Amino acid sequence: MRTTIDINNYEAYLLDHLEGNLSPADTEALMAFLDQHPDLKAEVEGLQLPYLEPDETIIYPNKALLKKSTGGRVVAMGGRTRWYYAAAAAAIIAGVVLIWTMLPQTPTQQAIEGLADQPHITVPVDSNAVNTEPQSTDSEASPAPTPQEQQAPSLPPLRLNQPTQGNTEQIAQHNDMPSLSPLQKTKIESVDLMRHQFQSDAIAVYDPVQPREFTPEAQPSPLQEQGNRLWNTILSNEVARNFIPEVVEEDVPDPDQIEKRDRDNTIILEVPKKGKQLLDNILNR
Amino acid sequence: MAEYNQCVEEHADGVFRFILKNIKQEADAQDIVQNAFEILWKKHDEIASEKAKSYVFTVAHNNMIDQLRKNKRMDYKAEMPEDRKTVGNSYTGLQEVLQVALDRLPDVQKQAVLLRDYEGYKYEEIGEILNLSESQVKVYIFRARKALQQYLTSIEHVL
Repeated sequence: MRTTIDINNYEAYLLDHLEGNLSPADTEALMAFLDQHPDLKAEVEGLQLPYLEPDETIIYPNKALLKKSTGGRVVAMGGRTRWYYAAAAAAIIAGVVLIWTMLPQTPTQQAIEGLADQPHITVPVDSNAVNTEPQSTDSEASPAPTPQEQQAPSLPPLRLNQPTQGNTEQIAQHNDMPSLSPLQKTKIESVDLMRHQFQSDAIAVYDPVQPREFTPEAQPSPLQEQGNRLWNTILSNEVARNFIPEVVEEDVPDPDQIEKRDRDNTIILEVPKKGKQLLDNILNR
Repeated sequence: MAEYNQCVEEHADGVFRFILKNIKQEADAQDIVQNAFEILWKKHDEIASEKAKSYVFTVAHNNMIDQLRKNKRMDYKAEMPEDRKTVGNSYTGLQEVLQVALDRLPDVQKQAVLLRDYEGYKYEEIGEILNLSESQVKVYIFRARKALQQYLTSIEHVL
């Protein structure tokens, strides 16, 4: 293939020529072009082009994080962002742990502890009991096990009204479980705990927090009385109904009042009309 | 999966080297490489394994161009020659001087010559990555080498 060599593309041909990749025909054309341009010919004569060597000291630092594994998606974090993510994750974990340790006992926890004292609630570990137990009850009460949990030896379910004979020995066996790794033990214990929680929830009925009327003290002061009435009004949703947003004409400051304030040099508390009406209603009840 | 991980193993260093030589900011270069491989991962079912390397280089290059433009807008000082430092090389003699000279080249010439010399890409492949014709790539590389050679000659004269 014969191509015209000109001032715009001669460098491409020259490069191929210097690298020994130019066909004889193109070489001839290139030489003819250079003969016509003696200035360029002088420039390229004896030209020895340098070549770079790769800088092997530069290596991507977190190659392992870029790779993917079959056990789930590896979230690669690189550059500056990984510090932010790591710091944020650490802060959230620390916060959750702190709040968890500071939380007072919830009604559920109290209910569980109360029930644990009852003699008819036991943790059976009799392996025969598992086989006789209807599977439906168990699956309703406990969360669906993950495939990993299924690999671990299955544990008997927690059941109510179970006789306590012989349990001490079985519990000891349960705790020993020499064939299990510490991780498996922890998993089993976690599942047990969850089971316990679910079943306790099923039987322990406790009141959800309901809004209650504020009960005033024996001899409330007038200020307290007003506060109480206001509080009860809020609870009875009257305030909420009255404050449902609607298009109201914006209150323009009363020029007389402004003049008065300037004159008296006193501060007048400006209450929006609707709010004032409401307060009056409450206080004059 | 295995092909993708192999691609990471074989080419992550190369992409990183290419980007870092151009962009000079290690953290930015890492982000660009990470992003390029994330995109490769998302599309690894559609991309033939022999095209994966070019694909990563192309994505990383485009990302880098955006970053370079942003940096140019944000920091004019970075364009000053005295702020241009070679990063991470341990060359002595000729290669060290060439690395300094490389930083004086226009971006496109530098990118083309890096892809050729560092990665051994064919001119056609470089054209695909840089979105240029093969002929353009050859012209840029010729000019880059000529400039490098002229720089070497001028240094020799000074020394």
